[in-house]
Amino acid sequence: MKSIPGNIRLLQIPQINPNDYYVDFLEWRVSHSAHVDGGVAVASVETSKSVIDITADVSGYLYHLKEPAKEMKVGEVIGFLSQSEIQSEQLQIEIAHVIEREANNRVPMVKDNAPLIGEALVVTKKAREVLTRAGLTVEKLNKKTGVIKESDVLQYLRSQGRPDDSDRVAIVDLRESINRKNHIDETHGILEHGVDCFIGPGVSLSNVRIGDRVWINKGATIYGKSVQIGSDSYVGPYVWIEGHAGVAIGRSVHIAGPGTCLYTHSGMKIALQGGPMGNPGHKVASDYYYEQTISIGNNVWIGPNCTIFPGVVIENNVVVMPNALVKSGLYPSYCLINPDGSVEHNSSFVKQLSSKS
Amino acid sequence: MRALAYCGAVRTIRPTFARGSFMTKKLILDAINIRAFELAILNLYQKGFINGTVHTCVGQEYCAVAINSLLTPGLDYFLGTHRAHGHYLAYGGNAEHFIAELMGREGAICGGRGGTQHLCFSRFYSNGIQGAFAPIGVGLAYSIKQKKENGVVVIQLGDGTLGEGAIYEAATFAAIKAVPAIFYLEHNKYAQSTETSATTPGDIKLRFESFGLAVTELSDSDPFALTENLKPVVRNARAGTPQFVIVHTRRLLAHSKGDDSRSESIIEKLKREDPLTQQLSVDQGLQSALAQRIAHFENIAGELIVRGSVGGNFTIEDAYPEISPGTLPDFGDTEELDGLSVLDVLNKALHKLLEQDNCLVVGEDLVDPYGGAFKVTKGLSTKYPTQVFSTPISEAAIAGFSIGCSMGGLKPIAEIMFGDFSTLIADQIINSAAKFYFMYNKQVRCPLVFRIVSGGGRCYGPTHSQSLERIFCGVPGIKVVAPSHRHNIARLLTFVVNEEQSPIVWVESKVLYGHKVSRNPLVGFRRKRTTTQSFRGSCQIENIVFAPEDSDTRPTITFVTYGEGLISVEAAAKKLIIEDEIFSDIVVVSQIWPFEVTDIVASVAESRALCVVEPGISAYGFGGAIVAETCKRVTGSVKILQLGAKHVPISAARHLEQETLLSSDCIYKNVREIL
Repeated sequence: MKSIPGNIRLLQIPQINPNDYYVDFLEWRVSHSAHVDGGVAVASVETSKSVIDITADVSGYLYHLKEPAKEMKVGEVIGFLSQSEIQSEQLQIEIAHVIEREANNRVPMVKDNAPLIGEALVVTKKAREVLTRAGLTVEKLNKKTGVIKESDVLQYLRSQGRPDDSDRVAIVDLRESINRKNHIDETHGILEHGVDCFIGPGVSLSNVRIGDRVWINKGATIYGKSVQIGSDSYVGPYVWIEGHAGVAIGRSVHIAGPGTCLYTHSGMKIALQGGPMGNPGHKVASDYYYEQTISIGNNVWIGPNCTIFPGVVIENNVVVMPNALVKSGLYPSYCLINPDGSVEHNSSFVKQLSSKS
Repeated sequence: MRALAYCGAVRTIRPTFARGSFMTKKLILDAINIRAFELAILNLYQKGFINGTVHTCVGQEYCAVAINSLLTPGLDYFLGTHRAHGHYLAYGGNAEHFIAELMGREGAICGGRGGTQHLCFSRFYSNGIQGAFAPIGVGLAYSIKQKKENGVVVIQLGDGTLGEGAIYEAATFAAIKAVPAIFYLEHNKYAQSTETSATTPGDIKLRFESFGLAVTELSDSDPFALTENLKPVVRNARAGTPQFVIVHTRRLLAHSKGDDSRSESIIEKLKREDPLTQQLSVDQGLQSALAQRIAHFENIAGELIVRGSVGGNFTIEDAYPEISPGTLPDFGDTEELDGLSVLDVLNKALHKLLEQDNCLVVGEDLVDPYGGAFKVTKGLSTKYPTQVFSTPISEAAIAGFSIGCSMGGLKPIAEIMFGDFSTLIADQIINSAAKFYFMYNKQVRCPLVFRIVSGGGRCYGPTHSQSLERIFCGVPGIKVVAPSHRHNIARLLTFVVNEEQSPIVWVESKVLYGHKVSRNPLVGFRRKRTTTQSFRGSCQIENIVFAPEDSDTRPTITFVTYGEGLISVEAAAKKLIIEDEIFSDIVVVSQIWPFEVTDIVASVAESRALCVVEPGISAYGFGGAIVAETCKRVTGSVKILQLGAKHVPISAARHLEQETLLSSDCIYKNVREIL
């Protein structure tokens, strides 16, 4: 694991009084990326008893990580001093990441004994899911305090005349579907499926949940811990979907084949961090190995021979052009992703595609 | 009657005191009265009218007569040991009521609850724990001094008591505080059956001189001289010089009844040395007086047997004094304290309490500028220098001293720096403070507060991180109060100090000190109920019930916790809402012993699942008691979870400590498993 470089000094919220868990971070007294001499006060904090300065113990360049705020946890890293100037913003962010991860690995001063403060509103996970599906933010619900539950969001949607068009896979009781005609072989690794589905020859599936009328064409491979495919979707021939971190595909999605791949894991960072890469037989013991879910909304068209990276979130009504390399990130509704990964919203091509004529 | 044979067989007659004076005559007759009483008691015991045990003082009568002739009942205190029959009678105690006590008959001085070792009359008390009264006596003497009374406290010790550490802690306190106390050591050369020379090395006199006490060594072989020599001792003690008196004496009979393993020759020798035996052997008149008194006491016993049924109208309820309903506190919202840390609120409350002259804050290292290990007492000693003081590192004496102060009418608040030291104060609290009200049949009250700093989370290791309040839970007579940051801590503390009539173990959590007090519930909850109720002569103070904010939402689990446990419970409850939309009731108890489960039962009846969370180890504790009592009263099936720290000592390394103590994640996981 890469550790914090030796020429970096961390600036942390100090513990002055043994009974303080929180300290108010008042101000930065030296600006971001400025050079400071050792012994200079760079920031001030207020404890329950007094205002205290945080001084630079060595000379160097100061980089802010946190902005002044009330009630910061004792021990929290608010910035760092570097002996050499770091000009690349990318590198600054990288160092910030390393520091953050180190901080997470360190056993914190106050784990869950910290009081729950400064929170008036709690949004449950289920409520958040519905909000995301509906493309809404919490503010829309106009609730300032208390708990927002799934039922609250659904009620709001109903009041807006938009019943939740849940694109979660329609899961039909298997006993029911026995009576329906399904082209599904018992040997397929399908956990749940809807009605009138078709699985082509040579398809390899495991841990897959599919909705109604899903068509998976010949030679496609879908595996991993959890892959969901909504109703009326199509997976083309020789498409490869790896879902170890989870893949959620909405309704009416067309993934053209052949050659389109969806990956939820990556070793790219390991390569850049100097390995070792490991191999599939060995569990990769690197912190740079990472997994992220892929989520694809409703009514998305994905061309053949595309590669979709971990952490991609594609919203509803999106086109992915053939041969596209889709890197991690959020792709909003009504856009077009070019083969080079660029995104078009209002280009003439998009207008041409979206016009009815 | 074998016992009577000890009265006469003496050859050497050497009356060494002036005979005939009124005082001398009274001295002798008082001594004869005591011997007659003891012999009559032994006789009654043999006949089966007395149960249990008795510890007679035959041979030591003059020790009792001499000192008590210098004391005034109602002004001076006498704190006796197990062998205090003689002192009780010499102090002025009623013999008939005493016999009734021993026989468990009507009119008993302690309602049949005390028996031979636990007597109470005016300011005379005796106790069966060796040395326990030493620090208590110093506390009583301190209260006399504070109230500027002219009294003195006599603390009876035996040579066997010299093995108890508490008396040395008490001697330190007495010397430091220059209190009007007399340690009165009756040296009869035997600790039960063991010769003192085998257990007590060195010079006893030097031991106590080194504490700075004025030590006087006397003998009762000349009772009149003993009385004369005690006069300056009592006078000096009254003037505020603590005294230590060693009186050489002898015990002619067994430690209790028939358990004398000494040889006949030794006893013969002791008899020859006994002044009362000598006087009886030469004076026919005294002999007949003795026989008359024995007959008198036996007659009293006979009358008691004839008069009433065994037990009379005794009861064994009311281990707790009543708090009058008018004083039940109002724990309404106090916005003014919201936002302060628990530490600051406690500090403010103590400042307010000390405005009362009779309030006292004692403990280790309390005095400014240090202001206490956790700074709860910061600033107190500067503002109230006479009411706040640092003590030696003597937890047993801190406890005993506070008990004495409380019996003397002061309002002591004792700080025990770490809850782990509960073991060191346990004897004083459990055997003394908790028992006095009950065993002295409601004649004594010990309202005082022990502030105990409990719990882990600070990496202080195995002996500074425990939650040992469990030691006191389940002991009748004690109340254990463990507030959380959602309680009205200031008003709770004020209430227990000012209104409670019982000893209170007040549990403060280290990790709560830094938390901000907030009467407002956690987001997603509302304060459904705050109960203050009286039950079984006791007051159940501030139980808070938090319920889901939306009153239509049914709770699917009831959390019950106290003190710092609430921190983890709140975090877990929040996670349950966010991750799983599982809503819960949280019952936060402030008084964990004795407890009432009405609120819990009401909540569990709805949720059908109970999760009890305690900061300490979950075995044999709060959780088990709550679960048992709740399940008794809820019909139908209930899912049960009982969570606490792992069953190992608490480690010092942070990650190990966190693994040992209960975390919110652990609560969350366990709840998800059963729901």
